[in-house]
Amino acid sequence: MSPATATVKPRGDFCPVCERFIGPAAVCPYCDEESARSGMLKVMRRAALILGLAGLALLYVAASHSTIPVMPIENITPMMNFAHVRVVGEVARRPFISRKRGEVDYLSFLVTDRGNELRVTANRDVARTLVERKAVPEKGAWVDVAGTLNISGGGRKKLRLYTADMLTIKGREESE
Amino acid sequence: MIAAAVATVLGTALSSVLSCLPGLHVYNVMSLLVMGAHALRAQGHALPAEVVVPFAIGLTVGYALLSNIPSVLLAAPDESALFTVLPGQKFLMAGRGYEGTLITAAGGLAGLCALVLIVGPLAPRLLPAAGMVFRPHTHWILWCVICFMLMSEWPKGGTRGQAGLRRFSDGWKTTGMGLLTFALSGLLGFLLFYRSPIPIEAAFQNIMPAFVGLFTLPWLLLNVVSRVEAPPQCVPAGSIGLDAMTLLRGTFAGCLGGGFAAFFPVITGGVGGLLAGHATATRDDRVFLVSQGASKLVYYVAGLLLLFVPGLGLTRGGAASMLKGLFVPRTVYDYLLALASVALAGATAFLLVGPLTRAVIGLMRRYTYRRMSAAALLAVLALVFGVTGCMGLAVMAVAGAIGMIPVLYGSRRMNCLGVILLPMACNMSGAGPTVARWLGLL
Amino acid sequence: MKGISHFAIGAAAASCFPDAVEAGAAGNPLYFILGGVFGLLPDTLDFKFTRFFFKHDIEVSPDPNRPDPRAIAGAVAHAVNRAFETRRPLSIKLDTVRLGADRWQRYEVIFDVLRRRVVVRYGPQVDTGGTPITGTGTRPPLEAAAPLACDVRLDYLAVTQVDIFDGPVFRMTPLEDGTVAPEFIPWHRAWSHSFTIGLLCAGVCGVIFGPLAAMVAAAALAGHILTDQLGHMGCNLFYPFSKKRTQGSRLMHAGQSWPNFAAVWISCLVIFWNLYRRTAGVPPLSPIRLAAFALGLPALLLNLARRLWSKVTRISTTPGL
Repeated sequence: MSPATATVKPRGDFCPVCERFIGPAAVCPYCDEESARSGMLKVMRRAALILGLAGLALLYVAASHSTIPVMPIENITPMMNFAHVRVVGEVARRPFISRKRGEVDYLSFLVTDRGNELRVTANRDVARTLVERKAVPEKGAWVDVAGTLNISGGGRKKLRLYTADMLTIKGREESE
Repeated sequence: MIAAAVATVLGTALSSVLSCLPGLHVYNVMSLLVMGAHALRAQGHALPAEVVVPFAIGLTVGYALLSNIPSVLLAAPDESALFTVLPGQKFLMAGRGYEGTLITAAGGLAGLCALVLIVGPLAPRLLPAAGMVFRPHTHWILWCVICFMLMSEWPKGGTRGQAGLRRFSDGWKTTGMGLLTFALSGLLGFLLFYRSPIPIEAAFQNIMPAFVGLFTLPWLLLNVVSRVEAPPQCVPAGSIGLDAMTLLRGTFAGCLGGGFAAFFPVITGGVGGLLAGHATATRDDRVFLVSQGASKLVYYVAGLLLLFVPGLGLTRGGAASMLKGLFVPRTVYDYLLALASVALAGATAFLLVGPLTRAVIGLMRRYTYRRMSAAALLAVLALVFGVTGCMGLAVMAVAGAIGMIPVLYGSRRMNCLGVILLPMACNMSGAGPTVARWLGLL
Repeated sequence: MKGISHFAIGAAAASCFPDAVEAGAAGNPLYFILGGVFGLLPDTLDFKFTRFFFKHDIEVSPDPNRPDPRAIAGAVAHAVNRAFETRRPLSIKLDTVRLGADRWQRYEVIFDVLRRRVVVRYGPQVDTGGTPITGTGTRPPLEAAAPLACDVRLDYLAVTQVDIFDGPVFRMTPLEDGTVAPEFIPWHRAWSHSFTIGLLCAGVCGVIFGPLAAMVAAAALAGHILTDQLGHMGCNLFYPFSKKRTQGSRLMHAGQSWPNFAAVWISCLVIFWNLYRRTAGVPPLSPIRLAAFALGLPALLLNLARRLWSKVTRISTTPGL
């Protein structure tokens, strides 16, 4: 008996006809017979694909139709780091715009809501778009802005703006 | 000082015991503790930094060293141990799981020594400058890692029969499914990043259900439904026979991989291990296990330590991200405290490896592999539900289905890392919001 | 060279273009991605596409339950003799023998040029990493030889190990001098590893992404071809104008650890240096200092460690000590 033969035993990994190792193959490459577990494996494979694709589609539908909650700044906690929220408030100071090689690189402004402050930031492309559209809110303006929260050490709260369309400058009456 | 030492030892001991539970990640435990710390702070009882920092470091180091026990003995790897399964499983199925665990832990300890004795003193001098050089370029480094990861998966099938489309499609089945896995997990990542269905009160754990689903769930499920049982494990009386060259080679590869993953954002220990393994052409199982132990430790611990390096202050990994919400290191004293805590935690954890491995082997004798995996599955489900609720379970289920694809088709499970790699690479290149808009998420 | 070496060399080639570095710093990853991708492209084309469409005339599929080196040797000899008789090339594929999820039967095919025969020898069983599994294999090893009708002119190595994943193809090509050359995996490093096709690919890249992209792609492809020329097999450098692979300089084997690691490490240093040169406000660093501390010192330490290790193992294996 050769050493190779000693290791071959008829199991799910081995062809039920020729008893050669075929692993997860559905059909034996030596004798073209179906493996002992080809049926179960096919079912599991299809189930994984269908569940994965369908589940992802359902999650996508749920997510894209969800509304972004309006969050009072005082209710923001460190556990909400990375949360996607909407904040409504007044711009407390002149916005800060930084430039790199003459081009707008970064923009930020402070929003207050019942005495609580939150810094809204925008990088590169978003900052440039806001400047080009003349949509940068000035001190005293009321804004409705949606973005992702970033809460760092010491409780400093920031809201990162991912697209210029998520910033709306409102009249005070509209916001109240 | 004494409080710091006690906190380190307690954190290490806690995570060492919890790390033996398959599928439980230190970030899950840490998230619960961080929630508790924030609650205490809200009530005016803030914990001092000399307790919080060493405790968190103890948790991280203990996990980095001791989570190799379930990785080898119960095959429930986290995303940084995607390779340990195969060589570790070999040791397990040969009844040498104890040996395999200790070899991996030896790599972790060697990595820790390299970190504390070599990297630690040099880091404040070298890393700030390296950080300045690489900072504007991390996005394309990440893209290159993604491209290499996808291109380096060779077709496994199509080895028999005449040339033609049939052989081509047979060969590309695994590779194609690998690419599909990456794409699907990447889409999931975009969903979670821009319009996460997880309640905002638990948003800081947005990605946790996905990770559990993609990596932990498939393994536990397969352990439960398959008929594979681990043979009885023997505990050798003498040495595990690990020679110096194997330890050196493995530690060298592991430190490179773990260090790369720790320094550059988003890249996990598993990816760092893949790159280092390719770069050093690691083939021997023992060298492989040592390198994975070293890589895992360096990845988790160096990732946390980077927060403390004076002049650098990089936030890498979940532990640093969560700790930063409670404490921001500023001085050299903080860095030295962190290094000292790492050293103490490493020594404590390594002393616990042997006894805890024997304890788990004892449990395996009393309870079957399947029962332990089932218990771990229930624990993981409870944790996900407890932190993120029903939507978290839904995300976990979808991620679990995606995570089963590479397992069932034989492709790399590392492709599931698309959940963070793809959205983060797009964001870092400034294309993230554009892609999210195309997907209708913004 | 391994894939990661080629990829790293490609990215390093991209970093040598200042405009690519500037673009990278400004948030455009394209040129570095192209460098890495084109660095690995030739092997990707061969191993992921070409090999599935290269037709063979004979396929040898050894029975894992009944090892028969005589049958394998006979088939290989038949292929050589047939090519010699018909004066036409003949391809033979040798399949691997898989015994388990992580277990393969290794066998060697040896072209014994002096004795005009082909020998097939069964070796130990190996794992997927190629490491022999102790306790397997027979003593003496199962072996058989088959005579050849003509002289053989080696194209690559005299001994070929067939063990894991996909087995090799030999194309027995009759030569003008009456010998037959067993071309090892003829589909590899043929058209994909030529400067001419490389220029064409770079041109296409340039049309899509611009002249800088074309230069980066060309540099990365050239890097791949030149590093492969350091090995044994060589490349068909000017396909379709040249018909055969130009033999390599035989300075290393593709799978050797140290040359591959050195290629990756040096590429990383080149990248670092090129990025450093374009970064403002960093502490001063000269290229000599970088080379000394990042290359010279580690090489020295590793060499010392290797010498020390070989001394220690020599002492410990000396009888009586």
